[in-house]
Amino acid sequence: MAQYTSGPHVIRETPTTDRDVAVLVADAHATGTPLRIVGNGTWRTGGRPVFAQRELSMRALSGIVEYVPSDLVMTVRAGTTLEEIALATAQYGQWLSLDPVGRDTGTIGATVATASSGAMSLGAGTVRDLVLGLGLVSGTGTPLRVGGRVVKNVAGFDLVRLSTGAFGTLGVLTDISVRLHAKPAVDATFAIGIDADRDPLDVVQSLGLRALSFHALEVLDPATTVRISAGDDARWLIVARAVGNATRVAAQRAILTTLGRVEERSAELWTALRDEPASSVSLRVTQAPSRLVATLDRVMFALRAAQITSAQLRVSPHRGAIRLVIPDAMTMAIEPLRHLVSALRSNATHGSVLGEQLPNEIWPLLPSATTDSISQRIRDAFDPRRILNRGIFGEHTA
Amino acid sequence: MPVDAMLVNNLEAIVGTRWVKRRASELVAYDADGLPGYHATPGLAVFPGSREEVVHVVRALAEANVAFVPRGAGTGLSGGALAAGSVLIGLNRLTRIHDIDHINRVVHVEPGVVNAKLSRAVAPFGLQYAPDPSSQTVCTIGGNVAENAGGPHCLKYGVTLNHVVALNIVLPNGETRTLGHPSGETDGYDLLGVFIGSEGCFGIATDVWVRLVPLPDAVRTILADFPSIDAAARAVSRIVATGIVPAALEMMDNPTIRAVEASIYAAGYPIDAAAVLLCEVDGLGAGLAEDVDTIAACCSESGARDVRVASTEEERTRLWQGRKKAFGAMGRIAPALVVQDAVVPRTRLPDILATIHDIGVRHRVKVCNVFHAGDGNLHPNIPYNADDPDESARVHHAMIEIMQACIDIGGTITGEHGVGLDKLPYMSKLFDDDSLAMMCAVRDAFDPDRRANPGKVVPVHACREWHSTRAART
Repeated sequence: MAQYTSGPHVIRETPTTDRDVAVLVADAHATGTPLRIVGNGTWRTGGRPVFAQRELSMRALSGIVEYVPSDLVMTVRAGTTLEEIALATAQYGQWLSLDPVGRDTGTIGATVATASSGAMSLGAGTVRDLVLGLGLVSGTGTPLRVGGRVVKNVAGFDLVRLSTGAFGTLGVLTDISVRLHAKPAVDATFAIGIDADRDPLDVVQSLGLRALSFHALEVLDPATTVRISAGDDARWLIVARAVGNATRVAAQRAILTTLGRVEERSAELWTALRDEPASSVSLRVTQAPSRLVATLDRVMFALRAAQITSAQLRVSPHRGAIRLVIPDAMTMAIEPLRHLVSALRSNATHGSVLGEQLPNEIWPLLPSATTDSISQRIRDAFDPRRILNRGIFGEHTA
Repeated sequence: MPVDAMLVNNLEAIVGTRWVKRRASELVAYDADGLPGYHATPGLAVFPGSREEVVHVVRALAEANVAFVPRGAGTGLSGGALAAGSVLIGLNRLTRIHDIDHINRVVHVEPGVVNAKLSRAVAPFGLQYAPDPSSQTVCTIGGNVAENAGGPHCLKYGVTLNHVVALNIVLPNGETRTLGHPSGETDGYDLLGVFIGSEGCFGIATDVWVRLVPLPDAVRTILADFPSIDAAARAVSRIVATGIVPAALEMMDNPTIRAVEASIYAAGYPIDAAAVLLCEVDGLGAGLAEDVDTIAACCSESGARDVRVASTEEERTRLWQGRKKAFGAMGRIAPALVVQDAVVPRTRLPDILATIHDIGVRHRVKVCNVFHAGDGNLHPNIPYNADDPDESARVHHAMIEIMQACIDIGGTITGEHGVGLDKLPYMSKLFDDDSLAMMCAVRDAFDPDRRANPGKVVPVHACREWHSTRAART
């Protein structure tokens, strides 16, 4: 991204061992040099702009540290890609049930640092539910080990939770232990097209509690439908993933038939759904699920008012979350985006509006979540000179 | 330590004289929790009746610079609610269920609400609160939050952490905060996640918003009887490898089976079995029969002598009663019972059970194992006579060796009971000094004066080192 400090003047370090990471961070701490931490560097930038002339690339710190398939636990270095994890686990009929936005060329480190989860969080939980333990190097260059390699653990304060989603500001993740799942006997993907005369959210809400029995269930707007599939008409689409034995999956398909004509699709649909254009603006608006219909109306109204016509919407009904993706908006005029974000914010009295990828000028419209005294003290404890991804939470704008 | 008279007056003015206990005869009721062998009398016990009273009590204690220990039902098993000389704050009067939002599946409760009562309250909406510790008929949601409590059904549904969406808390200095979001998302640091399981060291939760899950359409409960622990452990691995996620997958060894069958909780377990597995699958009715068949086949292929599926709700309840009341049944064997808690990688279950058996023989103590086999969470329990110093010492030494053995094979010292006082000595075997010091530093972010549940969870030496290290670095 042009907005971030990158290019020939940025010095990139590519450590190959945990010790290298510790030494590099300790040096940076000693000199007060800000570091920007990057995974594979293949995907989008997350969070606010980072002010750093030095990059720490984790791409060389990759590979499996330990994998005992029968324990359904794997420990990998932070630079390991989701693809490498998928290949290794597939040999044993297992998977890391995690499908964050992006591609499998992204690293587990970036996924955990940004707490990115996708549609399968309905059935398997979010990344926070799947990370068991971490090795990290704090902002002073001190290696820390938190959590463990077992699936249940309450020994000490939960620094795993704290570090997951901390966007690298509490430490550079070096290795990660994750919980795996055995792949189900049947894994089927279904799609139901919704005609223009029906409200797609009313349709999906008619499932009631049965909606929660799916491994994934999302509602896609016509623009998203067109993006992810070759021959689909531009219409709303309900997509669902059902897992389990054949009888169970058939029963889930039968549940969906109450909504409309059910078509079976390839699981590639989910890969396509994750693969948003890298230069998109993306935001999440979340409200109580019961307010979803009204919230979607307001989002669509705000888009029209801002005269943004290229937005793609994806709704996670169980979470009450609406994801807005505006392709190529990172380079478009700022004013419409400013209108949009202001309108969304003013409507979000009961819920939240979170940015994922936004132009620099837009970030100040969203309040930083780390300005409270507890967050500040935590940051000081882990990274007293605030060298790690400085600025990414908007807590420091030097 | 006597509590200052002016502070007592202040507290009485906040909660009423009736709810401040300071006579030895009253305080003796609060000198222990569920951890046997430990007694510590609080200097005073105060029982606020509302959120506002909690805030005012904590502020009064902050002004007087007095340490406090929060307590729910006092069923914790790690000594976390012991309050030697300090002020105990009992939250068990805060029992209101404020709002059941069944549409959004979120319920807002006070911390003193009893776990099982919450599930009963939401059942008419087809919902349940999933975490189900064995003490669920008495333990409170606030205590569950403090300990990040689990239970048999957390194999499928997750522990407390996975179900709490927001908290209102009072920090030890009397300030209030909201962590998490009842209906949205938060970014920044996961302060909610780190507060859950902080064992009362970060403050007091006054309001808890928990996520509810649907009651399953159907449930099937299977009892499999094995001639050896190894065979039962093999069955566990086979079941998990099929991709079926049982709602619960519990194992009981022969001493436990015998204790249960000799008690009023007799569940019909085969008393000559080396181990039984209690496995439950739930969810949509469709497909459950196939899952039951698959699980039964896994058990048979692993050497089960018999596999039985509960055919009626009464039979299912009876099978579960034996499991849930196993600790009570062990109480018949001896006056005191250590309920231990540790986790090992699931594949190491046969090894660790053999090691535990050897340790028991060597120290001449009877170990009864009842545990959450699906996630490797062991509960080696030792019934004993706490008045017998020799036996108490042998139990103590056996427990130290069991904990060390769990650590040595890559496990952890607690899966759901917390560190409290009991597990404090093991923390430095599990974590290096820098990582422990960071835990202290995070505690200091919530409680710089270290007045909330002092001396628990992280060994004091680690906190001292943190201060010296930080001073040296900055």
